[in-house]
Amino acid sequence: MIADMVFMLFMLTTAILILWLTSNAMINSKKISIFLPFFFYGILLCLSAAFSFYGIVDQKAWFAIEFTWTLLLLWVFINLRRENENN
Amino acid sequence: MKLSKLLAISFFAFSIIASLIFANYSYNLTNKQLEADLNQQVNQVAKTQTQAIEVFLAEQEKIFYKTFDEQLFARLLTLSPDDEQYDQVLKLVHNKLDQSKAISAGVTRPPGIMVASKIRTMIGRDVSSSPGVQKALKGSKDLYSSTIPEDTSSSLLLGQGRSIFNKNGMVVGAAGMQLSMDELKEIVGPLDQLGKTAESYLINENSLMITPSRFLTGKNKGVLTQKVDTINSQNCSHAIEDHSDNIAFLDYRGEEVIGTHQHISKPNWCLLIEVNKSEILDTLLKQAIKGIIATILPLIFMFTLVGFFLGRYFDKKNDGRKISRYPCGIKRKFQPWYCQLIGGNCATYPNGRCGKVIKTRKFFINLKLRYYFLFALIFTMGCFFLITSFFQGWQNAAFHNEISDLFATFVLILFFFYGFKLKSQPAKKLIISGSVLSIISKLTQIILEEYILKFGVIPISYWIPGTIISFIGLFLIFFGFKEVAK
Repeated sequence: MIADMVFMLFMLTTAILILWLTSNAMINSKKISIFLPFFFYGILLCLSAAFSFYGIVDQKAWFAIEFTWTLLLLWVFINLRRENENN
Repeated sequence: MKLSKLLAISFFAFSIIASLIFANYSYNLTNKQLEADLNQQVNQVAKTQTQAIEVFLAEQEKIFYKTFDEQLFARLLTLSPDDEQYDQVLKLVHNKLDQSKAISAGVTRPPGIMVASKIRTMIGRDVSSSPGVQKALKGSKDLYSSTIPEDTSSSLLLGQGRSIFNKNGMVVGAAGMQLSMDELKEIVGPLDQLGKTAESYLINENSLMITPSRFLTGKNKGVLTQKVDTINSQNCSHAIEDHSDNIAFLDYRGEEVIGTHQHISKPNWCLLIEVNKSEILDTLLKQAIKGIIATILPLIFMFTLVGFFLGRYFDKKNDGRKISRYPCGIKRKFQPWYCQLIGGNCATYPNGRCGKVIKTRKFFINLKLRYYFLFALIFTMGCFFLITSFFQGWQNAAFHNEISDLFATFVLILFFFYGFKLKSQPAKKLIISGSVLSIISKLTQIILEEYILKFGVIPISYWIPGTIISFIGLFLIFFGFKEVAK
């Protein structure tokens, strides 16, 4: 039970931190679209924390979340390439 | 670096990888062999014990029918105690009952009044509440058997009874006997030949243990107090007779065991044979460790030595020249391909001349993107096959859980390779280290998922270290990305 709470709180803290950092980066750099995948990443982490809190261990739900994470990572990779070549 | 050192390291690394694959293959092979041997032994023991129990029951039936004189008993039951012949017939009946090997034997009149008994004090008692007497009075020509707790000790008695019919086919009473079951304790019980945790025991039609447990303590050792509601007992009750594979399940103690069953139709008992799975795994692990120490370690040592001396030979032959200069000939052979691979200017490596040695770091920087995909794919698939080979093989992998992790690993490897191409130095460090951490966490996740598939659910605390690494990796990637986007 304690481990469950630690896991959930850890996810929630990371999610909030990611959302906070991403929002700051978006405002400071004035580049919203390239930071969007990180923003969605933070939202997904919040969802995962909620899933964990309510004890939803349905494989399909986790599969969907993890797959979306990977797609967001791929989006970050594409943005990274574009930014590296442009700068 | 000298060739001797390089070859020793290469041979050592190669022998370690080969040993891991060999150890894993050998472990799986031994596992299958051990399971097959155990299956054979357990089934053999089950058959032998069932036969012995059936012989025991047949002997008890013989004892019953040796005493059971239906005509004489019916005559007694049709006479009234006031009749002249009654005492004479009763004496004959008592003679018959006294000769019996049973602990107690008697004849009852409906609804359950004892009229003759080996234990004389029982005569005249009302035993109608006994389920055995009730069944025996129902009017069946079949022998009814049941287990009865003995009054004076914790052991059980085998109760046998049958209806008594008169000449007209009417039920006039019942005859019953109580026989010792001590002989059964010699047939079933601990099975030391199968292991320290192996045991066989009998359960009755109500799934209650009727022979003592190897593990339970106390006066009864589970007899008539321990309910056995396991997959094995259920399969036996439903008369599932497939014994080709001994199944793993939780036994009455909650331990994971491997076992089989045999159904004994009369008197509807089940013989269950079980052995702890952990004991088999321990044996397997001990064998594997012995195998590693005896064969693999000397082989690794030998391979490393061979590599070292081979290297020394080449070192001496080439006057101690360094490796960077030495494989010029080999390099020249591969240079056109190598040059094409990294998309460099091939004209700088003319045939017949050793070109400039390209460092590994530069190799990654210059590598074309499509080769990143190829490397990422090979690495991901390699990891998948390697990890699953330590568990249940790639055919039985937890695909549903792992496919997204494998995809994530693939993308993270792309990050790792692309990190070398980044122009910003801080971003390069952050992205490479972040992707390495994330790859480690994803691979850990795959290992845990395989472990769960094989051994069952693990506490959530096991996931926490991997998740922490994964989040650190994510932050590093984020900061790296931020550096690039500046």
